[in-house]
Amino acid sequence: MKKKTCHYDHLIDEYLLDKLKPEDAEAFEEHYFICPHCFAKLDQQSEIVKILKKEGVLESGGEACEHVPPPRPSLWRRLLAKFRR
Amino acid sequence: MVKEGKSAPPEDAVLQYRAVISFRVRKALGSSNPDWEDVVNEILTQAVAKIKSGEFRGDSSIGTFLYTITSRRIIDYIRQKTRVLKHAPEPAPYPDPHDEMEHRERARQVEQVVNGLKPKFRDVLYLYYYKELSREEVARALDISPRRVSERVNYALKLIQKAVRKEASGVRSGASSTD
Repeated sequence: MKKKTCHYDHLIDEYLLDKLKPEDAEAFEEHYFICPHCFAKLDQQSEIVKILKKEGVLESGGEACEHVPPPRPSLWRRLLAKFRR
Repeated sequence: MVKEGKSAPPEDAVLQYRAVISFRVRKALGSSNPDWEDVVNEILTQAVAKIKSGEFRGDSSIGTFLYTITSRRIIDYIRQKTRVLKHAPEPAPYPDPHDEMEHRERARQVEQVVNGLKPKFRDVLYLYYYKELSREEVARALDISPRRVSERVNYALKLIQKAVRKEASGVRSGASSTD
């Protein structure tokens, strides 16, 4: 069975993290009042995001992130460096 | 969310929106704000009164009508609060012990899934949810494409949701078997 999706699905995360522009947030709020699919997803995701943000669940991930390698220079810079050698 | 039948009493139609109105109000006021429930009840009462008085003529959907009332009430509340209680301390909220227990249990499940994730997924979750970077910023930090960031976030979220749902249905079936 095909899963039901909605045009607004992709806004859920950014709405919960307050990353949407005010006008987009407003449009999404108006939408989830009439879209049970989005509201159900929003409601469920909201608690998960709260846990991920506040409960220290990911704090240990911060330690893991300390050894995240620094971003690689772009392909152009790498090529330039190669030619300079 | 609601079947807009003509025969349904306004109270019933409006009450079906309690969850969505509560969500919106808590998001705007903060879920630790002890006033949120009063504000929701005021919105519901106001909506029923407006429907009864014929102010809601059905030009828009009832969802849109309730959204408008909710947004106006939130703005009024924030204005009032800023004016009257600018420096008043907030009373501490009284969390429901049952809700608290369920929340703690879900937090434990989420933690379990997160701990079992490969570092590449945990790092993305950490930067995106905990550090609140944008998808593009996470992509730059980890030298992957923004699309890959979305894929990793979605994958991890699916695992978490699955674990939470599984546990919830286990709790429900366990509860019903003991009845």
